[in-house]
Amino acid sequence: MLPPVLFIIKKEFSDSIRSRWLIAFTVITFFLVIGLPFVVAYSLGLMAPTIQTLISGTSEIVYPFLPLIALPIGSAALVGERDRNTLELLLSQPISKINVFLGKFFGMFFAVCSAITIGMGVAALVIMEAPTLEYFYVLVIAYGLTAAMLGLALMISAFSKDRSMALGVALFFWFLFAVLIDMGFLSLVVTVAFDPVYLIPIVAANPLELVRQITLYALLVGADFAVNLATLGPLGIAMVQVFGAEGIKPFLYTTMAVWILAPTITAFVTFIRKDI
Amino acid sequence: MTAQLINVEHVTKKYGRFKALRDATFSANQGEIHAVLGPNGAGKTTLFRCMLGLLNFEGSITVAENDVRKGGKWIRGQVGYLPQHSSPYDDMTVEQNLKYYAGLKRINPSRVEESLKEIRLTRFKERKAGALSGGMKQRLMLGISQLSDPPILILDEPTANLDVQGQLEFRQLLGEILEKGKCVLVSTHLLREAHEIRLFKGHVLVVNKGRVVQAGGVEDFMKDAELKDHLFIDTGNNNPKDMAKVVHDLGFKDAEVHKAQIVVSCNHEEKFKILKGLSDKGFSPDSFRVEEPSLEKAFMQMTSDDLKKTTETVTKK
Repeated sequence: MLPPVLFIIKKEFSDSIRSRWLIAFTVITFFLVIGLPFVVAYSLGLMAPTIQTLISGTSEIVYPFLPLIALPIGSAALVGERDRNTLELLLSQPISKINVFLGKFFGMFFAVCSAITIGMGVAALVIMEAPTLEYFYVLVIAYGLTAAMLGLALMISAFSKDRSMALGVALFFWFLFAVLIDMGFLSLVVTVAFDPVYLIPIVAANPLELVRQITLYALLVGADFAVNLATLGPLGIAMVQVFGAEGIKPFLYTTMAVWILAPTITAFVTFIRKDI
Repeated sequence: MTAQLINVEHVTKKYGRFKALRDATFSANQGEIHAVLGPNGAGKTTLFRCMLGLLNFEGSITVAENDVRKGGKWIRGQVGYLPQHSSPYDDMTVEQNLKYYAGLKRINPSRVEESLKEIRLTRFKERKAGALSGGMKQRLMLGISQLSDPPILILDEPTANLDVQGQLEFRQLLGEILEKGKCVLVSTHLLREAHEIRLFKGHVLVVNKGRVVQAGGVEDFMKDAELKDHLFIDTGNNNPKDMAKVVHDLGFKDAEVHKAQIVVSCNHEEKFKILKGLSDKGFSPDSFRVEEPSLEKAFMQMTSDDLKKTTETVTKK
């Protein structure tokens, strides 16, 4: 007999995968990755597709779009059960709240990751014919961002009183990460008015910027760091100043791990402690 | 000797400063049926949720000698719970719902077919739960709660939102379950269900404003409420006033005349005394009938003091 958590994972996965929004997301991701103008350019022989252009295009165009699927789906997960009056029946079964939480998290995580894999993977096949290991790494980074966004969404869901409120807060966070912080406005203000070192907490506070930096330092900035440093701008210089060349990646990975774990654990504790 | 299955001791549940349960204490044994009576908001649902370990509370609850706080998961495996405000997944079919919950209960999926027969939904197994009528949905919920054939069954207002047809269908199904000798707790603010409990010589637990006001057998409950039978005597060709005078003289001062009928409040033994007294005076009534006191009256009597106090407080404010 399968453990109950697998039944919850299966149900969440099939519920999410059937969602029209997820299907639309997969198609949109595909088109964002292939970037139609580039495809036209490739076909005309005007430029050759390289893994670098694919990776940088993905990190600039696709990453900001990824939270738009994890946040709405995740924000409805816990509060949605309450809204639909199914939570009490579910929790009155011989299962623990840990089963319910993990089942929901991983069910949605696998569904969104499947959509990312299909959308981005098929696009990479179209462009590159044989995607490289580096592109696989891009997918892993996207999965990490999905986990962080699902954790955040579940935290919003655990605190919210109804589904519409949860969705509103979730979309606000996307707007905050993708638009407000990303506008470059803050970066500009900090660079002009203060020491560029102050850019580091801004990056740490925005998971979208964080995954972009991870992609950049893990895949695009080669071993010859000094050569690339000039192109990294004030943030790169500030990070080298603070962490040293060797310390940048550990800082970025640790911060990303905090982004995945902190909201997820907060969501879990809130859900466990909250009465029906 | 029947084993004690549920033991609730001095349970208090607070929501902020509001006490939903106040020092609630009662127990239920194997094979007993309890009607949990109380007006809306009395604390019945809160009590059930505490018993299942779904809420934090003060006090102690054990089910089959297991502490709810430590063994909530195991206890939920022993209890079939039909919540009042909950529902199956509307976007899943009847069969999918049963299979899903069978998985959560770690029950063989083959049990689903049997369950469909028991709740008489085999014909509708492919239908989405959202498309079922209220009665059918409630039967599905009962089927889910019965999947593991648990020794304890808790039904929270099972017919509250059903139409007459749905109520009849559900009560028939409930009657079949009650015959299985399980420990059953049925909460209701409608006393019609409680009458069924009376048929099964069950127990009554009256909850009012978070307190357990009464816990015991139905007959004890009626006795404590000090309610008497009503004897209706058809006077026929006799003069009702003359007959009423005889009844008065026998010591039944509250005897009243309604057209050609005399109505007297009396207990079981006194009925024969009245009929014999009339016969001794040469009166032979056409017919008579006895109306036993209803649970409604007993319930109202039991909770009326609290209700009065509430009304007075509200009026003063």
